[in-house]
Amino acid sequence: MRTRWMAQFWRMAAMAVLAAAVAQAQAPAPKPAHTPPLYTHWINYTAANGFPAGEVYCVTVDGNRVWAGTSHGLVLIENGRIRKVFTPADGLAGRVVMSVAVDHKTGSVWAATFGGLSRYSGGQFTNYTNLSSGLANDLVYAVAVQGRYVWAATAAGVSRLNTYTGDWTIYNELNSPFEEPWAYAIAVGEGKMYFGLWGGGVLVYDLAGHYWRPYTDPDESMEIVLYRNQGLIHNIVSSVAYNPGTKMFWAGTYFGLSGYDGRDWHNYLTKDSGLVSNFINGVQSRGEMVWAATQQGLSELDTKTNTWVTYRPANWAALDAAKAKEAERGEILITGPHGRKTRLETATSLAHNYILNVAFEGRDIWVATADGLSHGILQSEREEGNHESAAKRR
Amino acid sequence: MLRGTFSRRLLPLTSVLAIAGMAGLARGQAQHSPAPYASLAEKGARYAGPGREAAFDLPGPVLRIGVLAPLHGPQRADGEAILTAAGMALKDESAKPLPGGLRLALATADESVPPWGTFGDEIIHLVVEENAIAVVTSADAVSAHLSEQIGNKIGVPVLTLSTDPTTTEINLPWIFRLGPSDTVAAHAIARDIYLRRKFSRVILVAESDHDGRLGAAEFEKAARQAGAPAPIPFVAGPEPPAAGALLALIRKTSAQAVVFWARPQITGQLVRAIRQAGDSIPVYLSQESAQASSGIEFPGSLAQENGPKANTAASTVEPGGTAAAWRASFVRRYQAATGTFPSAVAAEAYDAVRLIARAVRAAGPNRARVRDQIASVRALEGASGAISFDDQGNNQAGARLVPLR
Repeated sequence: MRTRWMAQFWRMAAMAVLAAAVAQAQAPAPKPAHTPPLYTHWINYTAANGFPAGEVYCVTVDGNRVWAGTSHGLVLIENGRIRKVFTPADGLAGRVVMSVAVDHKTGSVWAATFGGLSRYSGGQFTNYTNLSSGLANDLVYAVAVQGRYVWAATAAGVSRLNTYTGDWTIYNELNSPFEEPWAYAIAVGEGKMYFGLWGGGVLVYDLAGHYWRPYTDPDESMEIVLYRNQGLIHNIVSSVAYNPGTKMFWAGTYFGLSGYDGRDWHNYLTKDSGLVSNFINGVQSRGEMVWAATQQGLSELDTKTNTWVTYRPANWAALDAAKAKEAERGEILITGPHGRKTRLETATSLAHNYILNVAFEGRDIWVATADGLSHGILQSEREEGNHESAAKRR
Repeated sequence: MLRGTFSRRLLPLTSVLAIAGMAGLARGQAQHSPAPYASLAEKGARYAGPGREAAFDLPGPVLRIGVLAPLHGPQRADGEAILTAAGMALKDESAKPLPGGLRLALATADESVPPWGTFGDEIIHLVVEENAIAVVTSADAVSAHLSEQIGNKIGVPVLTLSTDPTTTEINLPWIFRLGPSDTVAAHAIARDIYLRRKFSRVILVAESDHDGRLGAAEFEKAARQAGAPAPIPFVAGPEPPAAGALLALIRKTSAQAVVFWARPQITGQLVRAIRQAGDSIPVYLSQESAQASSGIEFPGSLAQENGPKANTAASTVEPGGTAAAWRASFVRRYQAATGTFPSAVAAEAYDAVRLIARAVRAAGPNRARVRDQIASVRALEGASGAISFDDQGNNQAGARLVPLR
């Protein structure tokens, strides 16, 4: 009798220990102080639900419309539903769409493609190519609308279309300080245009003064960064963004992230920050936040607290190795200002860890990945409270 | 590219180092030069994207290998040499059936296509319309850069015959170079000129275009590192080369050697003018300069292991390492087919197509998996030498000098 009671006691004790261990493993880790609001819910648009398979190069939000440039056309999402996938059969200049910009005054949608520049207006496409217009090259990497002008970054310089007059202006190594002609990215600033160049750093064009200012890697070396905040990290610039709130521009490179506030440079590499990968495909900034679209996840920097948050699928390594078909749970890595790391898991995930760009819709975020488009929704205050009370209970 | 002239590169770096040195002095650390904050080339980028799944396999029984080459204009002979070599490789690889009934074919694009600005469309046609499994670019650096930009965006392996070192210094996982870079070639030439032959007065003939500027900067750097006086610059092109001016400069400076980093047809005209003037001054040609359209032939050098010991009147650079059997077979068959000796670029084109076919055999019709296979190549015997890629996609074979006729 006593033996049976003892056995039962030990069984219950073991179960209690096991239950405690499971609870410990499953409970969310406490969110560190100063962590920005987290995106904890993801809705994905992939081949599984009618979205074109493959890369999503860009995403642009226009009210309740979301435009996505993909390797298989231009996708329009309205109120969360895929409305149309435009391809060359519909009149689009090229199947591969690198960048999309909306002219909020006219409603025209501009698409930078690998077959020229397209304007979508009134349900029809008008195309501009190297042979039919002043477009410098049909390889158009980026497009931006600035007042009456449309700017296109091409493989042979920058082209500017005056939409009022139809006049084109080409800026390249023949008339501007381009080290090389390859323009890769554009951002519209306040009275300035910012261009990310392949091999030429960042070129800034003053719209009133009509002059250029180049920002290049001061050590001029492809192999090293001499000092952390020496200036631009690298002359191959994959992306550029301007933040009107902080008056800073940010440049993404394949070697790290650079920001310039008009006086000082702020550089970030994986070696001593929470940036998840130095290979940056896209960059965006608003408020105090900077987003780096890297090949190993989406890294967000809160410049005020120097806290990093990275989003990626929890099974990202299996995705890379083609050992998993799709992302399952999400992973959030938080790196505090002193390097302390916290990991959280979410029930939903970004479509892929290879991130190409981001855009914002109010508090939400849209993320272009190499295998689908993701819509991120901020953690609600209620959810956040649950996290905190769970942390306090422990 | 990306570097401008050597002086432009060096000046800012020297300034920063000088400032750093002064700061070190202030801290009593004058004996130590500062270690850089970060070394970027330590490890190349691993491709962390999708595309390896069967869903991304290219459709159809015929897989195309894209080849970019000049098919018109003054460099047509160079393009034909590349296509001849590529065709030979395709024939060799097709002798043994590929898994799944796959067949390989070449899809070509003309990089000399007029009018200006439409070359990018040719690459897009290869990659998007023809669905090329991989692309081989010519010796032209602009072709290589455009192709790697597109390859990186769309996810297509690019094997380049360009010697522009910056193509593989960008951290992109999609680019691979078959031959020695300008950096490696410049050091091989500088060693022979300055250290073995003990020359000091050297004329550097370069064009002001992308490739010329870059090659010249690398040779200037190699000369400096060899402790030699700066080479005497001579700008060739883009107008018809001023042979008289070059001959006058050779006489005026009592030059001991002339180094060429110019397009092959310009190089050929200038070298012939030197020889016709009865001057036997040694000339050294970059790999790009010594292509078929230069009219200067390799006298079977690819089949021989000549090395730099002989005091040859004309030399060029080819990949180091030995792969004698492949080399001899390729040279013999190429010569039988064309009546001419293959340039190093032609041999590399042969190897590039073989590499892609070999990768397809192992990985199937999938660009990302083919990329992984190519990246893993180590000590593969080829017509241009033994091929091993490092993490940045450089062939580690080095370079050696071979005689020209």
